Amino acid sequence: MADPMRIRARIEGDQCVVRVLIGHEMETGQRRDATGRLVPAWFIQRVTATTGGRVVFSASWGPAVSKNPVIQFSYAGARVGDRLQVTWVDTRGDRRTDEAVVSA
Amino acid sequence: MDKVRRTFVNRGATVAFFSAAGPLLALSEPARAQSSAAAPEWAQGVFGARTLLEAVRAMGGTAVTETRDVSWGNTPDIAENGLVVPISISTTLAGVESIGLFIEKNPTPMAALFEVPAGTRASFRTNFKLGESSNVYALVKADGRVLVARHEVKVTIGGCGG
Repeated sequence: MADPMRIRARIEGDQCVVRVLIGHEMETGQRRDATGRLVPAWFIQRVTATTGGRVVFSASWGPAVSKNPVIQFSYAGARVGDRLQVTWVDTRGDRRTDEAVVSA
Repeated sequence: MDKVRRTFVNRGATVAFFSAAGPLLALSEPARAQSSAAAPEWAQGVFGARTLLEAVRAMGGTAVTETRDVSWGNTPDIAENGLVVPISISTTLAGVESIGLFIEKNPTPMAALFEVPAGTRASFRTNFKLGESSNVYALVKADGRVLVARHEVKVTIGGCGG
């Protein structure tokens, strides 16, 4: 099981600013190991965030996103105490969802 | 909140984060089922693009049309480490549906496609790998058109091969 994400969601003005840190190798499929063999591609392809059933973030990624990805985005209409779920799915079909509470 | 913020910044403090977030973890199972059902598929066609024009076409555009209405925020002009290049894209264009990021010199140039749901700002920041110095293009789909903006990043140590 992958490590939990670290999610921070904070209201700044009329926006809820969300910062997410994901633990993932994000292998490109271009890298060679110590014996010279290619390390197979293994990276997160989909990341979504929802709050109260509303999608507030939705991205597809290629292999160029850095190891241990960070994301920042913001959306309107959030209230303190709202719950925000972030989900990723990788090329192996592994997935993980974590939740944060919107703070002031 | 302060405790959560500090542990977020301090990447070593996983145990402290767990204890702060403990009451929330019990809720993650139903949340997982709910949000995975809503997740659209990976945009395979877009990520197969080898040229900027192919990427524009895969996003529904017809030609490479420039826009000046894209801001690159804190995206560096010179990156010391190609493995971690923070790229910020935002646009003031109206009716933005999605924003693609195309890193011209990378083996897979299409790096990300951010959809822009109603109520979400057309402004995103993520770290990317650059194999070498490259033009980076933002492809903004707005009101059915695809507009392109360019930012050049010079890399002193590459982010591929390793």
